[in-house]
Amino acid sequence: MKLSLRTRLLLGTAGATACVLLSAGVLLYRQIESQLRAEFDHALATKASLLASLVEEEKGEFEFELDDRLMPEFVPGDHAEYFQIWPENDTTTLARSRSLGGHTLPIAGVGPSEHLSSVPEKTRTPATHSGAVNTAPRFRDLLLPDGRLGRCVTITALIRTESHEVRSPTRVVVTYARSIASLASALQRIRSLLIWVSLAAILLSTALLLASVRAGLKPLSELARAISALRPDQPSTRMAMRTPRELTPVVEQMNALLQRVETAIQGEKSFSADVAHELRTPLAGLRSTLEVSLARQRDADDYRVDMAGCLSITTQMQAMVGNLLCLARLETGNLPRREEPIDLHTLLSDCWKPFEDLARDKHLTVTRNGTATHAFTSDKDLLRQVFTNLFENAVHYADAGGFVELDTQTCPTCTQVTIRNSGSQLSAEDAPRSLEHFWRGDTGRQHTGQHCGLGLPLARRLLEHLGGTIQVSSQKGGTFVVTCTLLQHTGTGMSEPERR
Amino acid sequence: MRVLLVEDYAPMRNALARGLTEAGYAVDASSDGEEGLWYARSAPYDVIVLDLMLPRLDGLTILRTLRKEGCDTHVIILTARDAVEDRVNGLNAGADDYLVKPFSFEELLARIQVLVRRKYHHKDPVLCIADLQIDTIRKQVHRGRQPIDLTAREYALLEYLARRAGEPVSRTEIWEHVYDFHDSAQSNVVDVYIGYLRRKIERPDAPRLIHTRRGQGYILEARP
Repeated sequence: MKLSLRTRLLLGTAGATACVLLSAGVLLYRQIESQLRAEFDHALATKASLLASLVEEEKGEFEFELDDRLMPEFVPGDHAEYFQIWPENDTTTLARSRSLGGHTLPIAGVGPSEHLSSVPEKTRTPATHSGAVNTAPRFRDLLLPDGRLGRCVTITALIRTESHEVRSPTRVVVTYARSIASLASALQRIRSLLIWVSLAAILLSTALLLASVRAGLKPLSELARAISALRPDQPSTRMAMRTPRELTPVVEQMNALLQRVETAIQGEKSFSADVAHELRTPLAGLRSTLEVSLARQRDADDYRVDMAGCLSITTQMQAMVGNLLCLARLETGNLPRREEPIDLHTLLSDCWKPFEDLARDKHLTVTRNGTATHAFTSDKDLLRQVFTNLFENAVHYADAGGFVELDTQTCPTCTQVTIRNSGSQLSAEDAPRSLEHFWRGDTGRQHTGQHCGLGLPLARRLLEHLGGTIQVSSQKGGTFVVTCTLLQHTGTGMSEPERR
Repeated sequence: MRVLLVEDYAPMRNALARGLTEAGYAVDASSDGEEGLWYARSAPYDVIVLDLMLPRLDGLTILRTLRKEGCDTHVIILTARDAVEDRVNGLNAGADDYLVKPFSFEELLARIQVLVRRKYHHKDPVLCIADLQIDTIRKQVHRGRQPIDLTAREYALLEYLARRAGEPVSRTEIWEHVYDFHDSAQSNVVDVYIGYLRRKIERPDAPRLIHTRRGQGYILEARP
C-alpha cells in the first residue's frame, strides 16, 4: 500500500527530528558523564593526595596520623571509604583505613603480582613537595569490601621527612577507593531527564510537524478540489495560477492539457458539424431533384434523367459515408491491414484509368516519370484508395490545359510517389491545411459535390496506417505537390516504424 | 417574376432552376459568388436565392455588399448550417429569409411568393383587377367565372402586370422581370406576348384591362 504524501513527509521529518534529538541527547549525556567522571576521579586523586600528605617519615620510621573524627568516612559504616598506603617498592602496608577490615585494596594500573615499581620511570613526574604526586593517578573500578561498586585511585607521592640527611626522597603508594553510587545516581537522573526531554521534544515536534505538513499540503488539496470541479461541458475553463511556486508547473501542465482537450473537443464538434453539413447538401440535392421531378407529369426520358441524377448523388454520398467510416475505423484502430506483394507500376496505372477521360476533356498534359520497380508488400486495396484519392484531387483541381505529373523513385528503404498538378489555388501557408478534415481552399463544391475535403485527409491517414508518410506543398497559381513515402520491407518483414 | 439563383452544387442548382422556371419564374442561375454578384448588380431581380458556401465569394459577403450598395432586393439564404448563430448572422447581414438544407421545394416556392408579394405590397395571394382574378399560388386565372388558360410565359407577364396594376410598365421592365438572361433579346417579344394576353383575357362584353400608354408601356387596370 502506498503511503500518502502527508504520511511520508511526517514520517520522514519526524524520524529525522527524532534521530537528531536522540543523537544530541546521547552526545550530551556522554559529555556530562565524562565530565562527572572526571570530576569524581579528580576528587579521588585529591583525597588520595591528602592521605599521602598525612604520612611522615622520621628516622626511617613511617608515621601516619589520621583522626577518625576529622575523617569519619574511613570508619566502618554504610558509606565508608577506604584507603591503603604502602611504601614505594615495598609490599608492606604502611597504613590502611579501619573500614577496610581484613581486605586489601588493589594498586590501580599494576597487575596483581606487580608492584608500583613496575610503573615505568618516565611516567613519574618530578615531585617537589610532600604529598606531591609524581605519577599520573591511575584509576580503576572495583568491588568495595562492603559489596558496593566503587572506584579507586592509586598515586605515588612524596612524603614529609624529618631527617636532615641528604638522600633520595621517600615515596609512598596510596590507593584510595570509594563508592560510585552517588555518581551512578546522578548519571541515572541525568539519563532519565534527557530521555524524557527528548521524548517530549519528539512528540512536540511531531505535533508541530503534523500541523505544518497539513498546512503545507493544503494547496495540494485545493488543487485537487479545483481539478475535480472541472466540468466536461466547460472545456474552456482554466485553472487559476494562484498556487505556491512548486505547484505552478502542475497548474501550467494542467492548463495545457485542458487546452488540448478543448481543442480536441472543438475539433470533434467541428467534425460532427462538418459531417452533418456535408451530408445535408447532397441530401438537399436529392430532395430538390425528386420534388421538382414529381411536381408535374413528365416524359419517361425526363424521369430517367432525374433518376440518374439522384443515383449520381447517392453514389457520391455513399463514397462520402465510406470515407467517413474508413476514417472512423482508422481513428479507432479497427481497420485491418493485409500484406501482399505490390507491383507499384501496375497499381498506379489501374488507379489512373478512371481519370483518363476527364484528363482528356480538360486537355491536361499527363506525364509519368521514374520506374519504381522495387516490389514491396502492403495492403493493395488501401493503397489503391490512397492513389485514387490523390489522382482524383490532382485531375479535378488542375486547371484546364494544365498538367498532371506522376513521379516515382526508389531508395533502399523506401519508395516515393509524387503527384503534381497545375492550377493550384492554395498558398504555401494553406497547403498543409489540405490534409485537415473537410478543409477546402475554396468554400464551394464546384464539381458536383464530390470534394468535401476528405480525400487528402483520408489518404494521409491510410498512408500512416500503412507505415508511410505524406507531404504537400503548393504555390498559389502554381503547382500543387503531394509526396507519398512508402517504407520498404526488410528481408525479414516490415521495416520500422512501419510496424505499429 | 425574375429570380436569381446562386448555388454552386450543380444537382441542386439544376433542380431548383428547373422547378422555378416551371413555376413561371424567369430564372438566372450562377455557380459562384463573383458571377452571382455580377448578376445581382446587372438586373432588378424580384428575389435572390443565395447559397452561403460559394466558391470565390461567399454568400454573406455578397449580401453585405449588395445591402451596402443600396440594393433592396429580397434575399433568401440557403445553407446546410442550421445553428442559431448562423441564422442570426445571415438575417443580420440583410437576408429576408433563411432556409436550411434539405428543404421542401414547395416551401421554397411559397417563401419566394411571400417575398414577391411583399415587394409589390400585396398581402393577398389572389390578385384581383375588376373581374380578373389571378391566383398566384395555383397559377390560375379567371375572368369572371371563366377560367383562362395561359402559357407559363403569358402567366408570368400577366402576373407582373397585375402586381403593378395601375402603373405603366415599360417594355424594358417587363423584359427584366419576365425574361431571363438566356432569352434572346428581341424588343418585339414583349409586344407579341401582350398581344397573346389580350386575345385570351379581353372580352367584348367586359371592360378592357390591358392598355397601351404610348411612350411609357403597358398598364393593367379597369377603365370604364
